[in-house]
Amino acid sequence: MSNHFSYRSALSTSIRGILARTVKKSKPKSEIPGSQNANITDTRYQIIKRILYETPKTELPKMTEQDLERHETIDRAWKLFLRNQQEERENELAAKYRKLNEANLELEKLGPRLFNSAQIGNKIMMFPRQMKIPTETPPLNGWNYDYKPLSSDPTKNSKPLPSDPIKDSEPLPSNPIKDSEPLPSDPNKVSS
Amino acid sequence: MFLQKLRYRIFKQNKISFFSSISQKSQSDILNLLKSDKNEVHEGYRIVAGIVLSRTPIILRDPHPFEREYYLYQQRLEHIHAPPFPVDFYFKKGSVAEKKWREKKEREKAEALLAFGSRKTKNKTSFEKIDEEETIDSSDVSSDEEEIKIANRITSADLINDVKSLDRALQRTLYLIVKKPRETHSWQFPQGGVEKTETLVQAANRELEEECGNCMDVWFVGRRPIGYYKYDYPKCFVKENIEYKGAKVFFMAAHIFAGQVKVDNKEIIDFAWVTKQEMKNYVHTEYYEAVKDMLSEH
Repeated sequence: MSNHFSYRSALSTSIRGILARTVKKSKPKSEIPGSQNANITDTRYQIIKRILYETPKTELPKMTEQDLERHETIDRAWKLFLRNQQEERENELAAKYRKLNEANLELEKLGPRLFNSAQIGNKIMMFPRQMKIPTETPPLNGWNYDYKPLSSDPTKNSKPLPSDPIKDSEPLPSNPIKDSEPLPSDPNKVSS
Repeated sequence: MFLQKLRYRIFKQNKISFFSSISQKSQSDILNLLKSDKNEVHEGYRIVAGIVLSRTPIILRDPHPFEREYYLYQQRLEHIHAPPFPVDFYFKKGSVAEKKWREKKEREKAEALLAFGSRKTKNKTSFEKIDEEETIDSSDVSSDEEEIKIANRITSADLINDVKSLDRALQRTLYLIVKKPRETHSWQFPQGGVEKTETLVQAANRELEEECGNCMDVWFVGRRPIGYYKYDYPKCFVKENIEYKGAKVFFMAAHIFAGQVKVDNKEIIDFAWVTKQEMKNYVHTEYYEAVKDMLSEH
């Protein structure tokens, strides 16, 4: 462990301090933000301070007994509504899972080849870029009916028998994501 | 260790075989000769891969009336109890934006008073504009700003109820069903036999391309089947093909992002994109009962 204060400079501490103070350029007080002598016309900091420290606290709404009863009923109804929605969603998912499970159990009975090929997954799960979440309004051009597959030439028989559609479906032709790229070099490694 | 062995085994299966290097025509000839041998069969049932091709919702759901009312109520409470808006913080004194803001506030004040007066006003106040269809107010748009175009949530396909259109029912999930050239059980999900050299997904992909054309951007969700349906062939059919007494269908999930179905007029003669509820009107009740649990309500 090196001691940072073990070296000695040519100049003494006091002389270095004097030098530093003469070289340093000090701002006029009016330019230092937040100081009391700051530019009077620059009200931005005053506005910010007012908003931060002087906004009235939001108090709880003052409700009469009737108001409160009404508010609580609305609150209970809302919670019930949400609960029902959640239950519906859960039931739908449970039904889907039951079907999935049943299908895979039946597939197992058919033998190892089909079952095993169905159970393997990709090491890195990727989803296509075209899979978009719903928005408020649809796209202006509507549905794209004019999709053409990449290799539309039927005479070229270079493609082998139908290969795994999951591996082959690249998100978009322009930006193929490579998952075989080398990871960034280990920082602990000594660079050659 | 087992996983490595498994992967190697599957890799070997998928290797380009000698068979595929032969020309297309002689391939099909050989295939026709080996027709009985190429299909996967188990206990007399033909193994079939079905495809549940879905077009997921494109727009958010319409809010439930209670939701709408509740959000209005909460917004009103917030407005009443909120601290005053710091205009001088957001708008520079004397700027154009500040002027516009003050004008807008004046208008809203006037409208708010009207709303409390009579409920039958045609012009909705800012309070009630939350979840409705957005239309640009002409007074808001200045001459130098570009007008933002927004598409309608209810499309023309909705109005004419075109079942072949993929622009219909944008809030719902649409499923592809195809019509086979027979009288009973004609509408169903596209399906086809699995061959002995391929996996379920590969079979599903191939069958979809054969039956519905390749002009669709389709993505299969993983390799696992999502549903299973076993059925026996009708007795008249069984007499011809003694080897099969029925079929076991394994449904594979897939999504469509672009394109449209092209009927081949050999195996299928018609198609439709329907919601889960509408499917009842097309598909046989027995089939619907077996299949409905795989599908989404929304």
